[in-house]
Amino acid sequence: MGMVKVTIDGITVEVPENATILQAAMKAGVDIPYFCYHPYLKPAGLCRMCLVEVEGMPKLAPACVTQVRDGMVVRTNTERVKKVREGIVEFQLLHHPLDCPICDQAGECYLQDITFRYGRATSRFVDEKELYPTKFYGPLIVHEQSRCILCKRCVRFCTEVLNGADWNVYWRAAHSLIGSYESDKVANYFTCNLVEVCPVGAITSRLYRYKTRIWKLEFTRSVCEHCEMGCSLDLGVRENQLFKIKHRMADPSPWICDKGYYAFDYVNHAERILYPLARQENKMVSVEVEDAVSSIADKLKNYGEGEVAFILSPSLCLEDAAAVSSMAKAVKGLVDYRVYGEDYLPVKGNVSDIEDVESAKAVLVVGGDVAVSHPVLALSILKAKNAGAKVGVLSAHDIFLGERVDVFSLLPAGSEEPLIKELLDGNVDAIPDLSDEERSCLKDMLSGELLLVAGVRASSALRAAIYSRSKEKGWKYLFLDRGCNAKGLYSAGAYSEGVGEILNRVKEGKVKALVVAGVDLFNTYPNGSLVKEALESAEFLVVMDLFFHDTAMYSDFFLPITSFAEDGGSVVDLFWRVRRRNPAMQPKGLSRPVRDWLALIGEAMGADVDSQGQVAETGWDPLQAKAELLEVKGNTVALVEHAFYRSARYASWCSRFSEVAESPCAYISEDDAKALGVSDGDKVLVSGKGGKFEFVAKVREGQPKGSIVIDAGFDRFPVTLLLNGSWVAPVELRKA
Amino acid sequence: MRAVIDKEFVSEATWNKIQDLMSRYPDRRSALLQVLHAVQDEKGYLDMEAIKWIAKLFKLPPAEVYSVASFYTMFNLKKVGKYLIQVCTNISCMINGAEDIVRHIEKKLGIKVGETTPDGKFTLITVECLGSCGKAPAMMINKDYYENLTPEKVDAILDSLK
Ligand code: SF4
Ligand code: SF4
Ligand code: SF4
Ligand code: FES
Ligand code: FES
Repeated sequence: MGMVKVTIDGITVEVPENATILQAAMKAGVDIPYFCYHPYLKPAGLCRMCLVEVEGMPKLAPACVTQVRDGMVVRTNTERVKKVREGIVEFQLLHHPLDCPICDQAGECYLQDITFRYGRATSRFVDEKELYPTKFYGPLIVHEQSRCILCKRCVRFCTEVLNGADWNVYWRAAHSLIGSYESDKVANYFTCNLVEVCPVGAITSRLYRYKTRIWKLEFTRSVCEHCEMGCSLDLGVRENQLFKIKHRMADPSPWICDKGYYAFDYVNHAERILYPLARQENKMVSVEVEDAVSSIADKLKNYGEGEVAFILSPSLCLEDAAAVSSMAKAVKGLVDYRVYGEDYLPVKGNVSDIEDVESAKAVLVVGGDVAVSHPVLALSILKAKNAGAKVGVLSAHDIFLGERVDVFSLLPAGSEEPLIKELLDGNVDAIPDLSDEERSCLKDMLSGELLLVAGVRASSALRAAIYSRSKEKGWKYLFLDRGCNAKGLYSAGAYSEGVGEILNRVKEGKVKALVVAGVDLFNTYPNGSLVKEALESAEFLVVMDLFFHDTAMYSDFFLPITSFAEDGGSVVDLFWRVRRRNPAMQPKGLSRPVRDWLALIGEAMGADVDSQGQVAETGWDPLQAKAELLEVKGNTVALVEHAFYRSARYASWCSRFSEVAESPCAYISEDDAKALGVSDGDKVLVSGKGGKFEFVAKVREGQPKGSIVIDAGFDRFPVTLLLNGSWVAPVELRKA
Repeated sequence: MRAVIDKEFVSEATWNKIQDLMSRYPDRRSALLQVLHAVQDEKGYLDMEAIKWIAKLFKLPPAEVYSVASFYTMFNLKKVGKYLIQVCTNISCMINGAEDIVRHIEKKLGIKVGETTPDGKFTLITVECLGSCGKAPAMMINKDYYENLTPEKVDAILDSLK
């Protein structure tokens, strides 16, 4: 691209010929105030705050939408510009409540700052202000129409980035209102970006409402712990409480998701266990660190080869994982992190960063709901689509992405994998419920350059099929893992035969002592009864975690660990990059990282615990997969998946975030609904192997008959009892 | 996924018209305004059901369709009577007695501005300049103009509407 020279307030800079005056000014270091301009949204020219004088142009020009010309001379420091800026601010404040003392945006508000720098001290308007009532949209966001400056950044985010959502501007001009049309609750997984793009206090987070002032917070850069995207987050702490999260660095994407932004308050939760506990009779009592450490060390010392096992959360950091692996080696025990029953390990894809996804020509997502497992990846896929890529989603469950792309089919839960295998073998007609247009689009996709994304549900056998077909066709492939650091745990060697195998061995008495770190197995492992039997049979159980969850109920010792906010570990992201966290606060109580506990225990046992983690050079070779494709038969087959608002780590202790999903839902087909005589919102009963559960029916268009999807992750709602090692199982469906 | 659109939501004639409108543009969104008109012409107004139906047709979020529909005052977003009386109260008409006209109609029909008669026949609203200032005061009933209004003329017009 050609470069041109522009002079702004006497400073000459060279910028690409398609740059705007505003961008050139940024390069020249000249401040041009703006509201509606946003670096990652298309220019809109709505607010007129950026008007500047351009030599040769009779009128002032909006800098954010005016393209530069070679030799252009721009002035921002003239009396004319000064006056117009004062005028715009005066108009913006015409009806603005100016309730800065109680406004959560104060201190980081564009309107406040611009008024301070460029406004007049007084206003000529004396009329009464027209104000609007506050509107809450569900537990996460609140909208103050009175403070809205109608820059439409929020609406543009919804149209340009989410490709449409239930959020828009209605009516016109001075009567314009911003908000949701269909409901009084906005729940699209990405609402935090509305808060972040809003330059004023019109859209704010309910978690932060009236909590503290931004200038009292100290921010530390960290990395999200809810998925492998590893979004950069800034943690705002005051008096050792985590109050607010901001996303200030566009890494890996300018956008984040509601998990990263809202699911953090568990860090301050009053139920956090901050002292070591030991079982005495039927009670857990608090004990000294030294006593806990020496008792655990004494116990572990006495077990022989293969008698101790460690089960870890896939979201522990690399250093913790390395420590557990080295401890496991020292006691000749087993270790595994695949707490969701995965039978696969991380595969190295041939996609090296998010730009590779965004520049793909065609993307096909199979075997998972990426918007739940890797939310920001879904936005990158949409970005690819908006740049011209064809996108398809073929999955047994999908809420966000499917309805926004070119090809979408909800597959029957029981035969999802065989159908995808058939498609990979070239049989496009195997995929049910496609329009002719979709079918031919899918054919084109498969015959050209393609990026295949394997979701977290895809079994090792399906991964093997995807892998070998992609190699053969020269496609790109990306394999998603559960947790935020599966690649790190793999790198640290924290795996063996799978968590199912460990639990079976515990149940059979072969493994006698179990250490579970950072996870409640009842919430994650797809066989609740096996977890129960194993925990009951374990001779010795140590749980390391933040909360006394269902797994902890069985423990002999409970060791409090630090949350991600208090720890400076690193994680390996989807693209195998190491991302380091900085501790944002002091460890609460006597909590400490897993590796520190293990170092103490190791020391007491005379074993060396090494917490140096390295990223693995190569990933797992899926062609080693021995298992069969997952296929489940039955009149009604259920896929169990964590609802988005219950899929974050420690969601049960993230009060507002988890509240968005009020009750567990069952997605059922229109045919099944008719046959059962239920309609949307009615109660249905799902019964199976280990119990009977009540759900709110959601009748979904495109949902195949005889196939249902039910929500997991709700408190005191152990749906994993329905499962037998995989997330799909035959069930019975009735009207409640 | 094969989208299932309930064709019966509109008459066959309207459905055909919509199909025609949507086939005219390379980007079918361009037909949105005209389709909104087509549906309103048949139903008299665009309620939430209609907005959602049109949204599905265009594969757009209902919020976006509502955003467009609410931008233009020509779209009725709530149920209106068979006859929508729109009296201009902008400057030229006001100077020429528009306020009397409004009061007269209110009294005659027994409703206030913004209301509909109980029999569902008339809805009365006021609007800004209808572009008929030269023949003020002016009003529109559905798509017809009535100008140089007097209370007597209004009586005759309203009485003639069945
Ligand atoms: S939006 Fe900005 S200017 Fe308005 S009340 Fe809040 S801080 Fe003050
Ligand atoms: S709510 Fe905020 S982002 Fe949206 S238009 Fe108003 S000021 Fe702009
Ligand atoms: S959950 Fe994933 S996508 Fe969402 S903010 Fe965290 S790392 Fe990013
Ligand atoms: S920033 Fe240029 S018009 Fe708003
Ligand atoms: S002011 Fe009434 S028509 Fe113009």
